[in-house]
Amino acid sequence: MIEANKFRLGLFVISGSVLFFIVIFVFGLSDIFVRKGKFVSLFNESVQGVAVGSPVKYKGVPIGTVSKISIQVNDKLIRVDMDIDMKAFVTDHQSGAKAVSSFNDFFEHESKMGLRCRLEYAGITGLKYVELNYFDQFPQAPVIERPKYITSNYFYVPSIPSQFKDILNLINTSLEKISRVQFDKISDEMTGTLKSMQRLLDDPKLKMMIDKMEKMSDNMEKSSSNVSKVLTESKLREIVDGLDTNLKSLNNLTISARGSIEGAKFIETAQSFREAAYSVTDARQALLSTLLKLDQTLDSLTELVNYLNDDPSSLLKGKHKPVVIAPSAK
Amino acid sequence: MGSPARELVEKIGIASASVFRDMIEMVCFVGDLSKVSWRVLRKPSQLRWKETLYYMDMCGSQAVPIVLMICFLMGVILGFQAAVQMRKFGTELYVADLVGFSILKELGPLMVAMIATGRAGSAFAAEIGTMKVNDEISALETMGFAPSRFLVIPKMLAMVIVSPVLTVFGDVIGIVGGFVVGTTMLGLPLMAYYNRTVEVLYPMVFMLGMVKSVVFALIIAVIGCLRGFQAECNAQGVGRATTSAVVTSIFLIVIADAVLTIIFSLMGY
Repeated sequence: MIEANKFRLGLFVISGSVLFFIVIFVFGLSDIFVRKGKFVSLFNESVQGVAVGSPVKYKGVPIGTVSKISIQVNDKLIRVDMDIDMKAFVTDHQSGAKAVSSFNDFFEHESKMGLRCRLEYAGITGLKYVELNYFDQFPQAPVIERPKYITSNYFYVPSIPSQFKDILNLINTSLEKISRVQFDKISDEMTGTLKSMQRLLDDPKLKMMIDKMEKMSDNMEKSSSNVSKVLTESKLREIVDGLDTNLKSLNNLTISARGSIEGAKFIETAQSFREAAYSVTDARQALLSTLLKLDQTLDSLTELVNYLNDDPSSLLKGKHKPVVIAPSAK
Repeated sequence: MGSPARELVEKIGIASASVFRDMIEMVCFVGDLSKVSWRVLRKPSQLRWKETLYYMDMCGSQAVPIVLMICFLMGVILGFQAAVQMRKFGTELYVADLVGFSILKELGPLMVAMIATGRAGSAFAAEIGTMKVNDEISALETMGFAPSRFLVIPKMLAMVIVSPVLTVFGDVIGIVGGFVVGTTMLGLPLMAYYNRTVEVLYPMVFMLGMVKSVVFALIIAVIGCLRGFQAECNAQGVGRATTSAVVTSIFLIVIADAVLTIIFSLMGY
């Protein structure tokens, strides 16, 4: 019997065995040696699309996987356990108890600052992953407080409803608002309006009006056709030529008018007028002054006449001097 | 001469009786093998290690090149077909999922089993059939030796050992085939494809493939040897036994694959 090639067989078995252990190690056995943080969250919505092994991400960075999904029968919440790879977080201490403590401190601080987890779609396949992040919610959903049955070994991250649930809520609200619209009443009103319109359309006056409009339209068409018959191309050209000639005449007239205006020496004439106006103004001023003086003279004469009327002897004696009374005589 | 309908019914009856007889013989053979295997397990010194090593070399290490080539091409084809469809949806990265799961759970063990059937199953049937033609089997029985212990157990043990090892080679090279398509044709980053493969595959998927490969190995060895023992004592009989070994093995492998897949699915894998 032919004997086996022992070297070849040994090489085959050894390489196969080595490959076997490498594959086992690469495909997950290495996780045994990875230190993990235990996270847990409770969801009040469907977790369809999330399965054991689904990714857990912190602000988009993969940090672990979902390790267990269960139903809490006492409060009907869906419990999702997550294994978080601590190697994903760079701390001052890379190993030992200090690293664990640093990791815990970081997440406790983050949780106080409002870190929440939410289910997000991983693509068009319907698969989901758990996203840890700070989320702006509208409206604000109530946070599920840490229940007593979650032991201190687990780090509890409150969950918030997924975007899909938000959309569903919005749709429900919108549908509720739509349901409040009184479609029956609107329908009745529209029916009434349509009946009124029908009556209006059935009115004989409207029919007459339409007939008249049709006749007018026919007449206009006839007129238009007549105009088009009368206004042939040659006639239109003649009209255009006539207009052109008239425009040229108008242009010539404008040129000659401009020459005449320029020949009229408007500037000098205006200057003469201006000077004459100034002379009239001066004469007016002199006249006003003369009249004022004349008025004053008349006032003096009136006063003299009154004085003479009171004392005609003053014409001969002259004007009386006023009598001065000494203060002591008082 | 009877009517054609009567002849058809007679043929169906003969074929059914043949299949039933074949099944009975197969069950008896498996029972005999179980008895002998138990005896060998109790006294491992009774095992013919030299022959076992020979069959390990023949069915295992000599089959590595063809297994590598077939499984690599299988990974390439699978990756290519997946890429063409997935590119339409912009989900090229999921080629890693498809290739990884398909190769590890199904195609790796199945392709290795097919190759082993063609190489080892036919060889076992031809070898034992020729021994039967030469009355060597009768001589063993006359001398009081159980032919199963001498001829079947080494082959079966060799197949059970080498089949998972060949499947490991096939799995790895199949994934590499998909990897080549993903990085060259789809232009996916090398590390992205690798990370995706490592992310989605887990040891249990790999182990399921190993379990399948062991079951397939048992089928190949048992059917190959059984058909050899059932061979008629002439040259044509050996040829027919060889053909029958290959066809029956492939048929039973596919049935076993379906049954195992259902069982694993029910178990949640």
